[in-house]
Amino acid sequence: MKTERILLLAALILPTLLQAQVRFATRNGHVTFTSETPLENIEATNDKATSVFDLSSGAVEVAVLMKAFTFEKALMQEHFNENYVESDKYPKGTFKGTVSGFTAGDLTKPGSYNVTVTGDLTIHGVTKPLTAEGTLVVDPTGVLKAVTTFIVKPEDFDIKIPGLVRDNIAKEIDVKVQIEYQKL
Amino acid sequence: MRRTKLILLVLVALGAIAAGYGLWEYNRGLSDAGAEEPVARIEASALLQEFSADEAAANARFNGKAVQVTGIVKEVTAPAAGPTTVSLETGDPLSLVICESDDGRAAQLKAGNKVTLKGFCAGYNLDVLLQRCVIVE
Repeated sequence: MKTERILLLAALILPTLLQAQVRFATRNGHVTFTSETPLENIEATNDKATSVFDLSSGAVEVAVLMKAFTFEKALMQEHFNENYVESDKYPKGTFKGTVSGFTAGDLTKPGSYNVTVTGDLTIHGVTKPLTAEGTLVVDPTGVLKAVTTFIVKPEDFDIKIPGLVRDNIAKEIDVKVQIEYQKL
Repeated sequence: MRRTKLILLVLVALGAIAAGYGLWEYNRGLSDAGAEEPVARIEASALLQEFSADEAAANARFNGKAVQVTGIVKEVTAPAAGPTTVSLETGDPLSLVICESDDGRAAQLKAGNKVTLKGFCAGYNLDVLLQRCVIVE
Protein backbone atom coordinates (compact mmCIF):
# COMPACT_ATOMS: atom_id res chain seq x y z
CA MET A 1 0.00 0.00 0.00
CA LYS A 2 2.81 2.37 0.85
CA THR A 3 5.16 1.17 -1.85
CA GLU A 4 6.47 4.67 -2.55
CA ARG A 5 7.41 5.30 1.07
CA ILE A 6 9.08 1.95 1.36
CA LEU A 7 10.94 2.57 -1.92
CA LEU A 8 12.15 5.96 -0.79
CA LEU A 9 13.22 4.57 2.58
CA ALA A 10 15.01 1.74 0.80
CA ALA A 11 16.57 4.27 -1.55
CA LEU A 12 17.88 6.24 1.42
CA ILE A 13 19.11 3.32 3.49
CA LEU A 14 20.38 0.82 0.93
CA PRO A 15 23.28 2.90 -0.45
CA THR A 16 24.93 2.89 2.96
CA LEU A 17 24.63 -0.90 3.08
CA LEU A 18 25.65 -1.56 -0.51
CA GLN A 19 28.26 0.92 -1.61
CA ALA A 20 27.91 -0.14 -5.25
CA GLN A 21 24.34 1.16 -5.51
CA VAL A 22 23.90 4.70 -6.70
CA ARG A 23 20.38 6.03 -6.55
CA PHE A 24 18.73 9.17 -7.76
CA ALA A 25 15.30 10.49 -6.90
CA THR A 26 12.96 13.44 -7.32
CA ARG A 27 9.54 14.56 -6.18
CA ASN A 28 9.36 17.41 -8.73
CA GLY A 29 9.41 15.63 -12.09
CA HIS A 30 7.55 17.23 -15.01
CA VAL A 31 5.03 15.27 -17.04
CA THR A 32 3.20 17.00 -19.89
CA PHE A 33 0.72 15.56 -22.32
CA THR A 34 -0.68 17.07 -25.47
CA SER A 35 -3.68 16.23 -27.60
CA GLU A 36 -3.67 17.90 -31.01
CA THR A 37 -6.67 17.87 -33.32
CA PRO A 38 -7.84 20.31 -36.02
CA LEU A 39 -10.59 21.42 -33.60
CA GLU A 40 -8.46 22.21 -30.55
CA ASN A 41 -5.18 21.55 -28.82
CA ILE A 42 -5.25 20.46 -25.20
CA GLU A 43 -2.24 20.44 -22.92
CA ALA A 44 -1.90 19.40 -19.30
CA THR A 45 1.10 19.59 -17.00
CA ASN A 46 2.06 17.96 -13.74
CA ASP A 47 5.26 19.03 -11.97
CA LYS A 48 4.95 16.78 -8.93
CA ALA A 49 5.96 13.43 -10.39
CA THR A 50 7.99 11.28 -8.03
CA SER A 51 10.71 9.01 -9.35
CA VAL A 52 13.49 6.76 -8.11
CA PHE A 53 16.26 5.65 -10.50
CA ASP A 54 18.85 3.04 -9.57
CA LEU A 55 21.94 3.58 -11.64
CA SER A 56 23.50 0.18 -10.97
CA SER A 57 20.51 -1.88 -12.13
CA GLY A 58 18.84 0.71 -14.40
CA ALA A 59 15.57 0.21 -12.49
CA VAL A 60 13.28 3.22 -12.61
CA GLU A 61 9.90 4.04 -11.10
CA VAL A 62 7.73 7.08 -11.72
CA ALA A 63 4.38 7.96 -10.10
CA VAL A 64 2.00 10.87 -10.71
CA LEU A 65 -1.25 11.95 -9.13
CA MET A 66 -3.82 12.21 -11.93
CA LYS A 67 -5.57 15.09 -10.16
CA ALA A 68 -2.31 17.06 -10.20
CA PHE A 69 -2.50 17.49 -14.00
CA THR A 70 -3.38 21.13 -14.61
CA PHE A 71 -5.25 22.22 -17.73
CA GLU A 72 -5.85 25.68 -19.16
CA LYS A 73 -9.61 25.34 -18.85
CA ALA A 74 -11.57 24.08 -15.86
CA LEU A 75 -13.98 22.10 -18.05
CA MET A 76 -11.12 20.10 -19.61
CA GLN A 77 -9.72 19.28 -16.18
CA GLU A 78 -13.14 18.22 -14.89
CA HIS A 79 -13.80 15.99 -17.91
CA PHE A 80 -10.31 14.47 -17.64
CA ASN A 81 -10.75 13.61 -13.95
CA GLU A 82 -14.41 12.68 -13.80
CA ASN A 83 -15.10 11.05 -17.16
CA TYR A 84 -11.83 9.86 -18.69
CA VAL A 85 -9.22 8.77 -16.14
CA GLU A 86 -11.73 8.54 -13.24
CA SER A 87 -9.15 9.88 -10.82
CA ASP A 88 -11.34 9.27 -7.77
CA LYS A 89 -11.20 5.56 -8.55
CA TYR A 90 -7.66 5.49 -9.99
CA PRO A 91 -5.75 8.35 -8.33
CA LYS A 92 -2.28 7.49 -9.67
CA GLY A 93 -0.50 6.80 -12.91
CA THR A 94 2.67 4.75 -12.55
CA PHE A 95 5.57 3.45 -14.59
CA LYS A 96 7.92 0.69 -13.49
CA GLY A 97 10.73 -0.46 -15.68
CA THR A 98 14.37 -0.31 -16.61
CA VAL A 99 16.62 2.10 -18.48
CA SER A 100 19.17 0.47 -20.79
CA GLY A 101 21.83 1.67 -23.19
CA PHE A 102 24.28 3.16 -20.70
CA THR A 103 26.79 2.02 -18.13
CA ALA A 104 27.03 3.46 -14.64
CA GLY A 105 30.56 4.56 -15.61
CA ASP A 106 29.17 6.65 -18.49
CA LEU A 107 27.20 8.78 -16.10
CA THR A 108 30.20 9.81 -14.04
CA LYS A 109 31.26 12.22 -16.79
CA PRO A 110 29.28 15.08 -18.37
CA GLY A 111 27.53 14.24 -21.61
CA SER A 112 24.33 13.19 -23.27
CA TYR A 113 23.43 9.53 -23.58
CA ASN A 114 20.67 7.98 -25.70
CA VAL A 115 18.84 5.32 -23.74
CA THR A 116 15.83 3.03 -24.03
CA VAL A 117 13.18 2.78 -21.33
CA THR A 118 11.17 -0.44 -21.11
CA GLY A 119 8.51 -1.33 -18.59
CA ASP A 120 4.88 -1.24 -17.57
CA LEU A 121 2.70 1.86 -17.67
CA THR A 122 -0.44 1.86 -15.52
CA ILE A 123 -3.20 4.42 -16.12
CA HIS A 124 -6.90 4.11 -15.29
CA GLY A 125 -6.19 0.78 -13.60
CA VAL A 126 -4.93 -0.75 -16.86
CA THR A 127 -1.30 -1.87 -17.25
CA LYS A 128 0.37 -1.96 -20.67
CA PRO A 129 3.96 -2.56 -21.73
CA LEU A 130 5.80 0.55 -22.88
CA THR A 131 9.10 1.05 -24.69
CA ALA A 132 10.37 4.58 -25.30
CA GLU A 133 13.53 6.28 -26.45
CA GLY A 134 15.02 8.79 -24.04
CA THR A 135 18.05 10.85 -23.18
CA LEU A 136 20.10 10.99 -20.00
CA VAL A 137 22.11 14.17 -19.61
CA VAL A 138 24.84 14.61 -17.04
CA ASP A 139 25.63 18.30 -16.79
CA PRO A 140 29.06 19.62 -15.69
CA THR A 141 27.82 20.08 -12.12
CA GLY A 142 26.94 16.37 -11.95
CA VAL A 143 23.16 16.86 -12.09
CA LEU A 144 21.38 14.00 -13.88
CA LYS A 145 18.50 14.90 -16.19
CA ALA A 146 16.25 12.44 -17.96
CA VAL A 147 13.90 13.16 -20.86
CA THR A 148 11.62 10.79 -22.72
CA THR A 149 8.61 11.09 -24.99
CA PHE A 150 6.06 8.47 -25.94
CA ILE A 151 2.54 8.06 -27.24
CA VAL A 152 -0.44 6.88 -25.23
CA LYS A 153 -3.68 5.77 -26.88
CA PRO A 154 -6.65 6.38 -24.54
CA GLU A 155 -8.46 3.31 -25.88
CA ASP A 156 -5.54 1.06 -24.84
CA PHE A 157 -6.22 2.08 -21.25
CA ASP A 158 -9.95 1.56 -21.47
CA ILE A 159 -10.57 5.32 -21.48
CA LYS A 160 -13.82 6.00 -23.29
CA ILE A 161 -14.27 9.32 -25.07
CA PRO A 162 -17.93 10.21 -25.74
CA GLY A 163 -18.96 10.69 -29.37
CA LEU A 164 -19.77 14.36 -28.83
CA VAL A 165 -16.13 15.27 -28.15
CA ARG A 166 -14.51 12.42 -30.07
CA ASP A 167 -13.09 14.81 -32.68
CA ASN A 168 -11.75 17.19 -30.01
CA ILE A 169 -9.44 14.61 -28.46
CA ALA A 170 -6.57 12.99 -30.32
CA LYS A 171 -6.48 9.22 -30.70
CA GLU A 172 -2.78 9.41 -29.86
CA ILE A 173 -1.71 11.57 -26.92
CA ASP A 174 1.91 12.79 -26.83
CA VAL A 175 3.47 12.44 -23.40
CA LYS A 176 6.73 14.11 -22.38
CA VAL A 177 8.57 13.33 -19.15
CA GLN A 178 11.38 15.59 -17.91
CA ILE A 179 13.08 14.73 -14.66
CA GLU A 180 15.97 16.38 -12.84
CA TYR A 181 17.26 13.86 -10.34
CA GLN A 182 18.96 14.49 -7.04
CA LYS A 183 21.54 11.96 -5.89
CA LEU A 184 20.55 10.14 -2.71
CA MET B 1 -47.05 37.17 -39.26
CA ARG B 2 -46.11 39.39 -36.28
CA ARG B 3 -46.54 36.40 -34.06
CA THR B 4 -44.12 34.31 -36.16
CA LYS B 5 -41.59 37.13 -36.02
CA LEU B 6 -41.94 37.32 -32.25
CA ILE B 7 -41.43 33.58 -31.85
CA LEU B 8 -38.40 33.74 -34.13
CA LEU B 9 -36.98 36.63 -32.11
CA VAL B 10 -37.46 34.74 -28.85
CA LEU B 11 -35.82 31.64 -30.35
CA VAL B 12 -32.85 33.67 -31.59
CA ALA B 13 -32.51 35.33 -28.16
CA LEU B 14 -32.66 31.95 -26.39
CA GLY B 15 -30.12 30.54 -28.84
CA ALA B 16 -27.80 33.48 -28.16
CA ILE B 17 -28.12 32.99 -24.39
CA ALA B 18 -27.42 29.26 -24.71
CA ALA B 19 -24.40 29.92 -26.97
CA GLY B 20 -23.14 32.59 -24.58
CA TYR B 21 -23.45 30.24 -21.62
CA GLY B 22 -21.75 27.45 -23.57
CA LEU B 23 -18.85 29.74 -24.47
CA TRP B 24 -18.53 30.99 -20.88
CA GLU B 25 -18.58 27.42 -19.56
CA TYR B 26 -16.04 26.29 -22.19
CA ASN B 27 -13.63 29.11 -21.30
CA ARG B 28 -14.15 28.97 -17.53
CA GLY B 29 -10.81 29.08 -15.74
CA LEU B 30 -9.79 27.05 -12.70
CA SER B 31 -10.98 28.64 -9.49
CA ASP B 32 -9.16 28.56 -6.16
CA ALA B 33 -10.64 26.96 -3.05
CA GLY B 34 -11.57 30.34 -1.51
CA ALA B 35 -15.32 29.94 -1.86
CA GLU B 36 -15.43 26.24 -0.95
CA GLU B 37 -16.66 24.89 2.37
CA PRO B 38 -13.87 22.51 3.49
CA VAL B 39 -14.73 18.85 4.15
CA ALA B 40 -12.17 18.90 6.98
CA ARG B 41 -10.21 21.35 9.10
CA ILE B 42 -7.12 19.39 10.04
CA GLU B 43 -3.48 19.66 11.17
CA ALA B 44 -0.86 18.83 8.49
CA SER B 45 0.50 15.93 10.58
CA ALA B 46 -3.01 14.46 11.01
CA LEU B 47 -3.76 14.78 7.28
CA LEU B 48 -0.59 12.87 6.40
CA GLN B 49 -1.45 10.27 9.05
CA GLU B 50 -4.86 9.71 7.43
CA PHE B 51 -3.19 8.95 4.09
CA SER B 52 -0.34 6.84 5.44
CA ALA B 53 -2.71 4.78 7.62
CA ASP B 54 -5.33 4.04 4.92
CA GLU B 55 -4.69 5.62 1.55
CA ALA B 56 -7.90 4.37 -0.09
CA ALA B 57 -10.09 5.69 2.75
CA ALA B 58 -8.28 9.03 2.77
CA ASN B 59 -8.62 9.27 -1.04
CA ALA B 60 -12.36 8.75 -0.71
CA ARG B 61 -12.63 11.34 2.05
CA PHE B 62 -10.38 14.11 0.74
CA ASN B 63 -9.52 13.76 -2.97
CA GLY B 64 -10.91 16.47 -5.20
CA LYS B 65 -12.43 18.22 -2.19
CA ALA B 66 -11.48 21.39 -0.34
CA VAL B 67 -9.44 20.72 2.79
CA GLN B 68 -8.30 23.30 5.33
CA VAL B 69 -4.91 22.45 6.77
CA THR B 70 -2.86 24.08 9.54
CA GLY B 71 0.85 23.57 10.00
CA ILE B 72 4.34 25.00 10.36
CA VAL B 73 6.01 26.13 7.13
CA LYS B 74 9.09 24.05 6.29
CA GLU B 75 9.93 25.66 2.95
CA VAL B 76 8.52 28.11 0.41
CA THR B 77 9.47 28.05 -3.26
CA ALA B 78 8.15 30.68 -5.66
CA PRO B 79 9.14 29.83 -9.24
CA ALA B 80 9.14 32.49 -11.98
CA ALA B 81 6.13 30.80 -13.60
CA GLY B 82 3.41 28.81 -11.89
CA PRO B 83 2.12 28.68 -8.35
CA THR B 84 4.12 29.15 -5.13
CA THR B 85 4.72 25.93 -3.24
CA VAL B 86 4.38 26.01 0.55
CA SER B 87 5.59 22.82 2.27
CA LEU B 88 4.23 22.10 5.72
CA GLU B 89 5.96 20.06 8.43
CA THR B 90 4.28 16.78 9.37
CA GLY B 91 6.73 15.37 11.91
CA ASP B 92 7.82 12.88 9.22
CA PRO B 93 11.05 13.91 7.45
CA LEU B 94 10.14 11.96 4.29
CA SER B 95 6.57 13.17 3.75
CA LEU B 96 5.18 16.69 3.80
CA VAL B 97 1.92 18.42 3.04
CA ILE B 98 2.58 20.43 -0.14
CA CYS B 99 0.29 23.40 -0.82
CA GLU B 100 0.33 25.07 -4.24
CA SER B 101 -1.05 28.60 -4.22
CA ASP B 102 -1.45 31.61 -6.48
CA ASP B 103 -2.30 33.71 -3.41
CA GLY B 104 0.25 36.56 -3.43
CA ARG B 105 0.73 36.23 0.32
CA ALA B 106 2.03 32.65 -0.02
CA ALA B 107 5.42 33.82 -1.29
CA GLN B 108 5.81 36.04 1.80
CA LEU B 109 5.65 33.06 4.18
CA LYS B 110 8.85 32.03 5.91
CA ALA B 111 10.04 28.72 7.38
CA GLY B 112 8.73 28.41 10.92
CA ASN B 113 5.55 30.45 10.31
CA LYS B 114 2.29 28.86 11.43
CA VAL B 115 -0.25 29.02 8.63
CA THR B 116 -3.71 27.79 7.70
CA LEU B 117 -4.44 27.17 4.03
CA LYS B 118 -7.43 25.82 2.18
CA GLY B 119 -7.01 23.93 -1.09
CA PHE B 120 -8.22 21.04 -3.22
CA CYS B 121 -6.65 17.71 -2.25
CA ALA B 122 -5.02 15.91 -5.21
CA GLY B 123 -3.92 12.83 -3.24
CA TYR B 124 -0.84 11.19 -1.74
CA ASN B 125 2.36 10.52 -3.66
CA LEU B 126 5.10 10.55 -0.98
CA ASP B 127 3.60 13.91 0.05
CA VAL B 128 -0.03 14.97 0.39
CA LEU B 129 -0.73 17.56 -2.32
CA LEU B 130 -3.22 20.44 -2.02
CA GLN B 131 -3.74 22.66 -5.07
CA ARG B 132 -5.27 26.08 -5.77
CA CYS B 133 -4.84 27.00 -2.11
CA VAL B 134 -5.78 30.27 -0.44
CA ILE B 135 -4.34 31.46 2.84
CA VAL B 136 -7.02 31.44 5.54
CA GLU B 137 -4.80 32.89 8.29
